[in-house]
Amino acid sequence: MYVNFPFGKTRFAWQKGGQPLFGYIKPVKQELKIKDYEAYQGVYCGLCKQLGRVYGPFYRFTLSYDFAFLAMLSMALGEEPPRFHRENCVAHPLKKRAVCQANSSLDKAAAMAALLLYYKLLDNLHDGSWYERLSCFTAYPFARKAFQKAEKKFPETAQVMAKEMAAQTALEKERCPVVDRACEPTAHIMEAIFEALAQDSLAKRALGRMGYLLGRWVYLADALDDWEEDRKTGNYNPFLYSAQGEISRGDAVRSLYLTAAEAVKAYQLLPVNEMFRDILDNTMYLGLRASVDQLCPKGRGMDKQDVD
Amino acid sequence: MDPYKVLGVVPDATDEEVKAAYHSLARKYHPDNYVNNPLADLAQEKMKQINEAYDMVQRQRKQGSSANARSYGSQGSYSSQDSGQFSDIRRLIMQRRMVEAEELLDGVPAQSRSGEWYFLKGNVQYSKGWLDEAYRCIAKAVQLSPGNAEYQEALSQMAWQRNTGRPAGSSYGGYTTSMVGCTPCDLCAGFMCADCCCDCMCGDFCC
Repeated sequence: MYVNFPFGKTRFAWQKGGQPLFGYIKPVKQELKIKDYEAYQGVYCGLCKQLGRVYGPFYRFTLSYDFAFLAMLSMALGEEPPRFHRENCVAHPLKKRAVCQANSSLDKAAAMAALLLYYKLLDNLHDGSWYERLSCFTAYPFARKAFQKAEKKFPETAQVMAKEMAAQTALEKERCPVVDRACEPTAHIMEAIFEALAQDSLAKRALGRMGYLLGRWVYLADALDDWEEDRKTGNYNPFLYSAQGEISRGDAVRSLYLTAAEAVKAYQLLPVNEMFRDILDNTMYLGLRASVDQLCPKGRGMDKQDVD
Repeated sequence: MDPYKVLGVVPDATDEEVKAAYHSLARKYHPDNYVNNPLADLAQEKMKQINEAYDMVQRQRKQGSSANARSYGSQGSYSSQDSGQFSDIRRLIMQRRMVEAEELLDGVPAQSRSGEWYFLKGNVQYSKGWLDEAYRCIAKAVQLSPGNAEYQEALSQMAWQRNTGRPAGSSYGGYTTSMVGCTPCDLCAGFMCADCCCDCMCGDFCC
């Protein structure tokens, strides 16, 4: 048994279900303007390069939509406008793309990704299957070095992560019957990460609430994603082990919707600058909902009353 | 403060455009959307800014003639009923002292937990971010006191969010997006997905 932690769920190339991109907090591409799409891609590529540059090529695999979102939100709240430069990279060798150049926001997002990966590895090392323990054991020395680098930058956030990861593992071991409580450690981690994006106390409050709710949302989205698998393997899943009995898919979706809507309310209060507003709006107003719908398409697995 | 920037319109926007922008912002940040929200004060501040910006534009444009009255008040219509059985707990919640409020609430014996108790418990849960428990408590409050407008309003707002995934009064960029059914848009989307695949492999083939 291992913790259901949704971040740093690094599907290394050699692990099953290996897919290069993951994460749930992403925009609906079809609704983006071309310029926004390019900016998004640029941030994404920039983050990938930043991870490679600071923590080593191994870390490029931790790249996810969630951290690209974090980097973008940080840029949208900061004063220095990001610079883009057309360049090549390993993943796109034939065509140059606009890539966001190193800045403090990318640095923050990369550090957070490195911290989370380390804690995830530690957890797998203790509780994973022999196969996971082996792969984590191999990766450990690299992760340790990267962790030390990132921890120097955000010691308080690292502390919160250590504490909350332990809490998450404990809650899952005891098969927590309250969905709200099961999400809480992950929500607290995201709260700490988001709070680290701003200096002034008002923005910190709004960011903290948004982070908490997005953390909760990501944890629940991950639980919805793993529903079938957890039912087969008997792994802990908050929706399957609730005190009210198994929660219907429809109610799980509604809980995610409610969480997204509340996160939007906090997001609306942030002083987001023009450059990234459309992408962030798209992600918050459409993307969160679309991700949920993708995880649980209407009509599949939902009961009749839920489809209406 | 540049009032046009606050309202998100260009300075040569028509009166109608200014009014429409104001209305859509006011709907978004209306105090009703942030009742019991821990960020209610930030929303109120935002609402104040928007009202000031709109008044300023009105004054500039109609110097002399009487300005149009705004249709949204900024005085935050928080229904703070100080009566009721648990007025002291209510006051703690108003002051955002949630830990104390929850302790007092949990101390109330099960047989004297009325509709109001469930409503207040729901508010405390909501403020913590425990949204499922909050919804359950508020639904129970409505069930126990079906005539209470305050509980009813809170429940219907949560129910709306549970069904739509967004807060009431917010709209996305003015686009109407249809994400159900198969329309020519889906065809387009299909092409775009195909294009993205091309992007990953090697440059844009399609466009």
